[in-house]
Amino acid sequence: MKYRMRIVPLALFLLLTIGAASAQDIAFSIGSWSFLPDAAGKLPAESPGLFPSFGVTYGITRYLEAGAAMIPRLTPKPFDDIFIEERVGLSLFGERVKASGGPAVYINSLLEAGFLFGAHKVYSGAPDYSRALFVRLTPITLGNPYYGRRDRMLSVGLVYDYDANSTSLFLTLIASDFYLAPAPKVH
Amino acid sequence: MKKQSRGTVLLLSLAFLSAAAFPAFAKEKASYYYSVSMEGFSSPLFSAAEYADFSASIEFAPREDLNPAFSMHYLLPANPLSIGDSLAGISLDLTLFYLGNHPLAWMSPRTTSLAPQVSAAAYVPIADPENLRYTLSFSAFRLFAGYGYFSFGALSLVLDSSFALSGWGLRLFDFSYLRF
Repeated sequence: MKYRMRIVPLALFLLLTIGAASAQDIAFSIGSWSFLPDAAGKLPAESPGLFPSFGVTYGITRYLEAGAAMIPRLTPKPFDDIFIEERVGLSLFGERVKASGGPAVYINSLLEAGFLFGAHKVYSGAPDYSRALFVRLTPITLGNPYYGRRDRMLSVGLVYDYDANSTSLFLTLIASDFYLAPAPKVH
Repeated sequence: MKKQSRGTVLLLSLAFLSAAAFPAFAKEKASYYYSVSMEGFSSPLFSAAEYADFSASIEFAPREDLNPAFSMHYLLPANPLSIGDSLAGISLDLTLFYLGNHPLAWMSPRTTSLAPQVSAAAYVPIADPENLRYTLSFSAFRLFAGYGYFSFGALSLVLDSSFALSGWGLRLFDFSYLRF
């Protein structure tokens, strides 16, 4: 038990620092989350609305990345529901970044898994909370850290709320990652 | 004449006046583009759904300051999907200026211009064409990138058929692609 308690956090720390997340491999991310109802017709946030996501994405290895984001409700009642997500992602069809620093593959796909924590009815009623796991497949990503920007399109995901024991789909129609290091300009 | 009909006539008249007047001063001929956007509203005149807006536009003075455009819209409640509650609309749009050296240049590897836009639109539910509502929008974060426009975070005010304030809206993102 003692060994496990030392090794697990150490392994996690090493995992996060391997690959030396330089400025080129840290991005500010924005996107959208569209929640769909579960089999019983219930939505994760109980009512529809606009849910953009604002977060950070950073590289761990040439294929692996991690990220976190805040997903607040903006309409009709701004910030009455707020989700926080944390995820890891795997580039499926090639390296995200090249060890040499040169251009990696421009078109790729991404498979992600993570945790989604929600706070609901923050000011419109008795606050409630939800916890869920999710997986998301992004069939098309365009760009990578070398080009300074990556667009993720037509993502489909599955959310499992393990407190409510319900499963539902969600879509991220488009999301963009803006990498901190300046990219060569294309005219 | 009913109030809502007067409003529509006014909007259409402005649109056609712009169409008639501006080409005479435009350095380039008119160009056409289509747009796809996602938006939501906090207004009793629109449901709480995520709306997808599909539009076709003609702009009369491309890449010039005070560039007017006329657009036709199809506004669909996409999530949850409700085709019966979709709306048709027209709008008059004005791109205020094109700024080459701008603080949002980092958002694209392409060279872009900041091109903020104001719009006035009229919508009617397809199932109830008598029931007009209007929006006034300002898109501050709008970039022109040669192939078209990209904007995010456009805010709008919603007005009812009597032009009374009836809520607000937010366009999360808008992608426009020039055709010719």
